[in-house]
Amino acid sequence: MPKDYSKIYDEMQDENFVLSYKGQVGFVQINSLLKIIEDRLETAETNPKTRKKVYNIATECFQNLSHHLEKNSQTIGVKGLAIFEAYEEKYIIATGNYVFKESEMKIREKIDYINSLDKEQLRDYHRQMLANESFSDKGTAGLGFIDIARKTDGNIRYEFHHLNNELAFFTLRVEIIRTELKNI
Amino acid sequence: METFRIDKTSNTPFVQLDADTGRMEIKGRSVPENPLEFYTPINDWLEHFKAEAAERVLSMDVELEYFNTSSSKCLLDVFKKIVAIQKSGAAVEINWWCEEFDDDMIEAGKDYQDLLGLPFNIKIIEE
Repeated sequence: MPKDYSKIYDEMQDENFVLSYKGQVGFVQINSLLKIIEDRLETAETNPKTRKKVYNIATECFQNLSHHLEKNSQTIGVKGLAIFEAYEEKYIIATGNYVFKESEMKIREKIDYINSLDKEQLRDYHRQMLANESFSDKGTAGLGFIDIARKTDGNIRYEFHHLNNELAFFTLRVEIIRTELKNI
Repeated sequence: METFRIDKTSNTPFVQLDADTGRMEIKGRSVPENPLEFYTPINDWLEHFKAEAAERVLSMDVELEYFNTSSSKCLLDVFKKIVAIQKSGAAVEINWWCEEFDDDMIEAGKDYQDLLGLPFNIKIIEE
């Protein structure tokens, strides 16, 4: 029996989901996704500060996703999930990917530490990491989560859904409040 | 020394380094696929400039719309070279151009300034 595409259409009817993508997240794909977000913000967001901030955070989140796939694994390492939602009062950027237990520990440790810092401590930590850390073998500067935390005032949320003892689905989610930005 | 120039793309900034006038410009968006590859020739050029820097002037205008965290690391290396050029006897200045509303970019300039002990002239782009 042929697939009923109207059901998929209805599921995607939620207009708040500007972008929902699952697939390869290399440089080329990420650029395409960011272009969609940029175009949408151009027409829908009147505040230039919010527009720029949301775009910048989306860039960092998606690049972060691309860098932190388990590239050594053929089974889980290739694809990721990228989401962009727009509401009257906020934007949500989310990413998802499968990670091994070992990565989970590192990610938890890093984000929990970042979330425990206040604004000034976060600034100091950022400067310290910028000055002292060299590029990792993934070609990253180790600054992604810190940068996202600074730009969203510490609003990083994450979850791990465990599939088994070795594997979990990691979701990173940030909210950018529109009204607060408008008042600044 | 020859003038070094890279045209702007959607992921990389316009770069012009003029050895005759000592004027450096970096403008646009810096989200390269490989930041190290992009910034290495700029650092190489600065290294050459350093050799003949005594009593020269180096004026740098940075007008970045956005740069990702990997680029932030490479930019720090560029600014470290500027500090080295200053130590070699040149008068250097860095103008850090930001849009008025862009607190994150203004903050980033201040962060570099504090890290390097080099004054960054934070300038607001006129509409």
